[in-house]
Amino acid sequence: MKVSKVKSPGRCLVSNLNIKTSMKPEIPEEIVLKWQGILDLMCRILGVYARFVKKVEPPRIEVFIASATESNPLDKEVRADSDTGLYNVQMIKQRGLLPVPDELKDLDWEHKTEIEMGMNNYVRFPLEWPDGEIFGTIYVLEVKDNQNTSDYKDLLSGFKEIVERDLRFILDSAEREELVAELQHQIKQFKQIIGEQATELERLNKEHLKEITERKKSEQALRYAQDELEQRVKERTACLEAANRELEAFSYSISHDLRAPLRAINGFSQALLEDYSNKMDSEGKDYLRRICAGANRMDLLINEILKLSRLSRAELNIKNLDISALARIVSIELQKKERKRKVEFKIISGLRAVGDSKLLRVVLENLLGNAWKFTAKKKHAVIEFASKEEPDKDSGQTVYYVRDNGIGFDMTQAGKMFIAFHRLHNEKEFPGTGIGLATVQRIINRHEGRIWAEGKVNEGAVFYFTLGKIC
Amino acid sequence: MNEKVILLVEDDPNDVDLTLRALKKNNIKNRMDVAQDGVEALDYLFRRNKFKYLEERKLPEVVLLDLKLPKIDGLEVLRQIRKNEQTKLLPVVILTSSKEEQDLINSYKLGANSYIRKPVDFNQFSDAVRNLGLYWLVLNETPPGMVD
Repeated sequence: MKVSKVKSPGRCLVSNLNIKTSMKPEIPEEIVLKWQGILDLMCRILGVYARFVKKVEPPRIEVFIASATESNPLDKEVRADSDTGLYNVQMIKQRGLLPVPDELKDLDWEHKTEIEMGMNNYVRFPLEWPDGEIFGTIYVLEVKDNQNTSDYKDLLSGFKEIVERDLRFILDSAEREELVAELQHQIKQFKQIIGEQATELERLNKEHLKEITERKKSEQALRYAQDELEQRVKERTACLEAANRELEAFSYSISHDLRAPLRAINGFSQALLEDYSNKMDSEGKDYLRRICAGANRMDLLINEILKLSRLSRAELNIKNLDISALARIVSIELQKKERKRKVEFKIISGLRAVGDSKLLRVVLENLLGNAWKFTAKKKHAVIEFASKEEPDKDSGQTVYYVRDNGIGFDMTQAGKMFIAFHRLHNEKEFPGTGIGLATVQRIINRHEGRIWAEGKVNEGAVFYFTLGKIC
Repeated sequence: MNEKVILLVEDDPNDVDLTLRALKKNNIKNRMDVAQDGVEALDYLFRRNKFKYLEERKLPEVVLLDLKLPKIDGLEVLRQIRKNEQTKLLPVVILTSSKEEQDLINSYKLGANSYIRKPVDFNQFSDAVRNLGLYWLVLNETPPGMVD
């Protein structure tokens, strides 16, 4: 039987096969061979003409295995099939054995090879994948009508069992493979991710290490700088301490040794005046008096200088205090010394300050004392103590001030007045040692504050000061 | 001999003369012995060395002690005086040029009875000496048992 006779070779497209199937794995070659063997054996046992396994792959139905019987009109290799799928659909829907004792003797079917050969009796039996989807059919062509024998059914059922077991195995294997592939893919991805992360980690590590090294370096540099600074502070402190000791020794020496000669000058001049007054004219006596006064004056200056140096060294006793009250006390004392003078004091009440009360009193004694002194010629002298409404622009500290309407000063001289022994006015007119403002500045400095003055000749003076944050 | 003697410990001859003059001016006729440094002062008080054979056994009524002295300074002299059983109650007046806080504190700590700063002005100095004499030689009663 030559298949080449078949007029419509190849695959027959079945348009009305309305069955949905999912992608299924290929049937391996060895399984196909096994099925072929069984199929051939069954043909021999049953003595049938032809058997096929038709595979249904909508919309295609193809001859998958054809028995090697000589009477087989269809050849597997050519895959010729003229099946319209009509019975297939019926069988698939029925899911059971479909015996067709006498195939339709329709004229349309006449041309079919098997019918031409008289094989118009056939049986179909569905073959299913484990998931219930149809794989295909076993298809037996017969000349005789013996499809209802139990041998027939048993063998077909047996073959169906074998095929379906194999299908289960194939599907399981495929699933397993798919799973393995998926797993391998995942492993691969995972490895990639790990690899990327490892690279990133390595990069970060490197960066980190670099950072650590740099930090260590800068820490070391910092420590080095700190050590150096500490060393310098130590050295400077030692220097300062030495200078302080020297200063103390110096002032101690001044205090003791400079006075003795002055005492001698004054004492023996006095002795001359007393014991030899009849041997001197008035001019001689005047000279001696001047010598005495000079010595006394020098004693006074020494005293002031020592006071100034003591102020620089004395420990500060910082407290929050009522500076207005302090100013009032000082003003009362000034008034007591010169009761004849009429001076109006305008002292704002309740001003607070943080500082050493003893030293701040010295500040006020000097500033208010100066104001008192330089308003001596004023008919209506006014001395004010208050604070500015606005705090100091640079430091934000309260600005206190002492204002008078006295003789004032030339602003071009303003810087010099805080220098020790520097006087802006004639000593005869306004007596003093010239050390008062230097003392005040020293005290303000020790309080980490600032002092400055404003004035105009004959129009009074204002002395401003701040006290730093030394709480 | 009931004379009240003053011991002046002073190294400056000018100051010695001025002190003498001030005493004289104020009619204080008590005898004044002078020690010119710390060692001499202690030898005098403890009857040692060149004062070993000093017949007089009576201690001075008051010691006028300068602080800045050659050899042994005033504070050390004061310490020795207070350490010695015979002299520990002896009135000692510090008479010196300075009134440095540290000197004042140390002097009183070591048991000085008084501290007077020598004024530069002789008139003031004279007043101070007069007050000293009046107080220590007339008003003050020395503790008993001051005779060696």
